[in-house]
Amino acid sequence: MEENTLDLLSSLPDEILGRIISFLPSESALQTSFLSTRWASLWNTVLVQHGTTEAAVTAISEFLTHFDELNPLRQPRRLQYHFGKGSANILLATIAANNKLHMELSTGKQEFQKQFDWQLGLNHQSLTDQPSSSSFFVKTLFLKSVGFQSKEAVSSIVSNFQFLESLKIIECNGLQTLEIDSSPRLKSLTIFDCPQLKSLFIRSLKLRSFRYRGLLPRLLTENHFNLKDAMLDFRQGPCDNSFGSNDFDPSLLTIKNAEILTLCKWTFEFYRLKELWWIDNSSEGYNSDALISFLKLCPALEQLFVTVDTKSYSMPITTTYSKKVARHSKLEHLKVVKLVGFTNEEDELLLAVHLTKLAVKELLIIATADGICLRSLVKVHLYQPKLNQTHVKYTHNYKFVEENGDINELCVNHAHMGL
Amino acid sequence: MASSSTSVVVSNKEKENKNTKKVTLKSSDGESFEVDESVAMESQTIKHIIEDGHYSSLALSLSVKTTMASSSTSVVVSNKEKENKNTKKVTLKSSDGESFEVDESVAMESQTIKHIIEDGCANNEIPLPNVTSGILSRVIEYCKKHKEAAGESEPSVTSYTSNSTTNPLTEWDTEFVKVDQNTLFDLILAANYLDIKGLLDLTCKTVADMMKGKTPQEIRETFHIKNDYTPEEEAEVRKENQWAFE
Repeated sequence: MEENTLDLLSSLPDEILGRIISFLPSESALQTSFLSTRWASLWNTVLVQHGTTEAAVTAISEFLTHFDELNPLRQPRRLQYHFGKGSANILLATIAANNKLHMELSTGKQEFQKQFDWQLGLNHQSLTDQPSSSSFFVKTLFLKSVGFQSKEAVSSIVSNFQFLESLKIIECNGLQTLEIDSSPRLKSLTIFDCPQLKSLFIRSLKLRSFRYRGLLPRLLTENHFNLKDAMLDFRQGPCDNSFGSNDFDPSLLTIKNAEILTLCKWTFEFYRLKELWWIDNSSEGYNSDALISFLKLCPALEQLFVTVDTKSYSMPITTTYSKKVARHSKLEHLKVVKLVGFTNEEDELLLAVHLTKLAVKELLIIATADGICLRSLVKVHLYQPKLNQTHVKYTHNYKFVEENGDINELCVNHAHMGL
Repeated sequence: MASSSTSVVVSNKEKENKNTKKVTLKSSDGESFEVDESVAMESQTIKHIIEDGHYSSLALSLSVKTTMASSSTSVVVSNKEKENKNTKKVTLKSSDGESFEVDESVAMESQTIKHIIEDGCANNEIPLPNVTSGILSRVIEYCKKHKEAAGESEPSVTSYTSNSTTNPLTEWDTEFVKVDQNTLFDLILAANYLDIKGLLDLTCKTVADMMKGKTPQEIRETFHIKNDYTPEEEAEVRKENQWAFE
């Protein structure tokens, strides 16, 4: 039997490959598009339609209804809908497994995007008498590059998605103010890279995840919600220089109970704070760590008054671990640390060693400057024999050693960065 | 003569299916003849008795003497034999010139062949220029097996979408597709050409199972797929589709 090195699979006709793919689990079916360009072409048939702005809702609705989730190659998963003046606006809608829909808008010419305000009402009864006949329930929606010419069409399409749970809005040039009014079904909201966004108003009862990247806008939240997962990447600074800290207060409330956070130090600096009264508790010896850390966020502080009250309440987690005097509290649960972007190797090593001493468990520390080359912290045993003694002494030093392993194996992906 | 022909038929039938229901006919002078129920039902009288349920598995009293009984039995038997001989057969000819004679009902598992026969275009042989003898013999094996299991009904409908642990053919099917890739793909193409849904689903699902759980690179290695993406193109495609995997 001769060795088979021919690619017989790819030479099968399209319908047969479609049938094979229909037996794959829907999440991984799309991965076949990475195999080769021939496989990618299977997934890239586009249905092209022209119509009016008003008819966009029906067009999308029908497109969604015809899609066959169990046999994803049977119908095109992409719709290119031309609408508006001179059919210049193009809406490209793409369906993916697990009820995901991606809608990207574009205009033929790269015009300056006029600034606009947008009120997005989700899960409301649609104003027209279009019944929502879509059998494909959109649960996750990505909106990219919505502009002032397309916002109306998008709004009416989106208001039909009664089962929407996750919304992601990215790269909307010209978007100045955004008001989102949603039902309790919406659990996750992400807004990335909308450069002109000055004001964001969220009316959403049960939001559990909020991710934002861009200049810090005016953030208003009507109802308080408790976030489990918050990414507040405001590293570009405030959107206008008259940044007032009271604009940020509502966000603070929402993240108090989060399990995953991304934060920028500057948003938490109390840069106007001159006088601070601090009440702390103490259990068998005062632990100053929390205070010291907080003081580092108060660059303008002039007067500090510390009161230690042994009866003062303390969060249960911090008091159960040790009866002995602990001058410096330990990080009981810390397992993995990744340091990115340190320009000075000494600083990096110092912080790493410091964290090692603070941790209780065996700590995995990985450092990288460019995200590609990884180094991990290892102990270096220096053997120091002493003459005329029966036992020898080891001192521990640390250094970073290059790792060749796959970054994903060494530590889990950051839930936010890399999005 | 009569007795000997009776015994011949019975033993053939025994070989074929041990589970066929049998009845015993007892002549008036006490001799017993065990025959297949279907054979005995050639007699309307016996048929009614059986259908009315007025008998035990042992005795059917017939007021016919032994020799008469045996002779009528032999007649009955040979009629059935003749009938079986009349099952329609068709001949399928592979691309490399080999001929296969199969029951028409088995051949009709293939929608393509079914249409040819129904259109009256099947005279002597049906030529299948797209299928080699090696593959054709396997396809026939599949059709035979599935037709048997389905019984006398329309072409068998085997569903491969559910976990068919209740399907007795599952094990047989699993063994059937344990072949090298060349053969597997030839079977796919043959099932497609001959329009045999069950076989097409079985073979396609087998390929899908070979892909499940593997990374794209692993799939490429398994099937010798050449990666014709440039690194930039590949990165672009991954970036474009990233949202679908979040």
